[in-house]
Amino acid sequence: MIPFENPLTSDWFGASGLGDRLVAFIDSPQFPPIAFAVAFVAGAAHAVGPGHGKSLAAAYLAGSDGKIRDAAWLGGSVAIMHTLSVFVLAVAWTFFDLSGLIELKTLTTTLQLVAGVIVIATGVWLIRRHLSGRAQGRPHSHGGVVHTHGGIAHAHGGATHTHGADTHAHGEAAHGHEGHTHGDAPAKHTHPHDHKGQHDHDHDHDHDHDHQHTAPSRPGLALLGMSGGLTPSPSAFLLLVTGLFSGRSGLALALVVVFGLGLASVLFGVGLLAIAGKSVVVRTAQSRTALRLATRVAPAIAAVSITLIGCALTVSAATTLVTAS
Amino acid sequence: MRSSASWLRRGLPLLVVVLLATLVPVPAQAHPFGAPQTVELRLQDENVVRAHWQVRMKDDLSWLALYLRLIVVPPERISSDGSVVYADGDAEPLETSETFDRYLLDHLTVSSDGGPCTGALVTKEHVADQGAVVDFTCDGPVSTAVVDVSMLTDIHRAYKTMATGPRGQMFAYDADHPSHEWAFDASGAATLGLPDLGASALSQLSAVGGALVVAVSGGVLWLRRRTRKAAAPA
Repeated sequence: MIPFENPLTSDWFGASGLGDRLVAFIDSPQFPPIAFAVAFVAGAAHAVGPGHGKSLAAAYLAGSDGKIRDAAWLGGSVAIMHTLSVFVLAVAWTFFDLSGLIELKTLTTTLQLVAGVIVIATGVWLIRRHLSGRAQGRPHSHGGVVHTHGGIAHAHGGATHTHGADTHAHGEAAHGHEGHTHGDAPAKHTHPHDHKGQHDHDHDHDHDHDHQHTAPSRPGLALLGMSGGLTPSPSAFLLLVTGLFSGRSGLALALVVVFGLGLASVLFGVGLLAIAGKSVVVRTAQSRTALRLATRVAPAIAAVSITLIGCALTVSAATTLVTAS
Repeated sequence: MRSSASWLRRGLPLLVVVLLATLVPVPAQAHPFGAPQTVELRLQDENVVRAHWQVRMKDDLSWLALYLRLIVVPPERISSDGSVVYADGDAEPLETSETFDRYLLDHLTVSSDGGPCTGALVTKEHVADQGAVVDFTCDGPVSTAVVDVSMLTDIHRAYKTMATGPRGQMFAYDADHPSHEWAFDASGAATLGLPDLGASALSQLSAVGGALVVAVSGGVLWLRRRTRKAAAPA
């Protein structure tokens, strides 16, 4: 369980030390409030280590038209999944003799395998979405910058750009936003949506404009978040088990939740970094041709990268399972 | 604007490096899963307390055998995170060595009515899969007993032992809490005033879970209301 101190040990940002300290709080007679701060930092330190979906978050958000709320959605998914995973495993281990049924290492490696398969499925879905979007999309012009809308064109009253033949417009009741942005265009612009009297609409489906710009899908983000939080942190598991055994399970669960928030904060930060990085590339790009190429290729690269990372995770977990059996 | 653009260009290589660093795909298997060792206590006879000790991660036995100098672990079996890759032969020296017996009886002790109970190893065959069983014979019938457990904490202070006993009793042993008193019959339970840890866990976890659901639901509702307000036409 706990290794000797040795030069080969890679204790990322003191994560295991923080985890040990965190578990010690549960046993101490007086429970200090600083334990919650330590839990948050321990979760963040744990996430900074290898794995945990940071590369996936970066690839997904940089390869799509990711927004800050998408990064928050991803981080939130990781936090919720991690808390659920720790809760289920710790309760099953403590009260239902889980370890008598299956060795926890085997179980967690199986969870890693499941996470890998989820990531592959997400990657393949993204590739298919990209390919079908390219097949159906019609190029059109937004102030000189050409891009496609995945086969769906729309009209904005008073706007200075044109769309494909199957023009449709937006019902006022369906969406009341004031404008939308085209993040992957160098000349980022906003269209005021004053729908009054400008166009007439009879459809009322609720959508925003993001989907026409390879925007991240919430289910896709949630799946990646789930894969990142599916395998529980050993420290968080031990924390809750210790809480259950010492009669302080409520405090332990609260600390696990805060630990998950720390974990999520790193994923959120990586997501922001990816979005900011892409934005910087877009703003500083000198050549419109290069930019056009980059904005077309980035989603494909992201989708393929996510699929490959999923394959690596799956193969790694499968190899461990086969070796152990 | 020019200075801003030039700052961005200067910072771009750094951002790219950071992004590339985060994009390196490394499987989330940077650490062993830390299932703690367990001790199960029960009354085998009216004056005999039986303790069943078992590791839940087999590499703990590798570390113990290494610590007792019963095996040598080549560097290639030590992972980058410091864990040892367990090999089938690691537990065998423990099954045959008296050094392990002494270690077990030194780190697992029972006393009742102020006097120590005499420990005797019952079995340690298949220690990796089935653990080891020790019987402690006390001078008289055991109602309550103090059980000390310090298994593996001399190897690393972070080791814990999750112990279970009669009537749903549970305790987490560690380097700072190596001793605990257990009740083995009804009068002992009455003497110690045992809490119902299962019921306590259920109520505590429900309270925290309920608070979480309320907090998350409140947050989502607040966000939706805020979005609707922002989107409402002037």
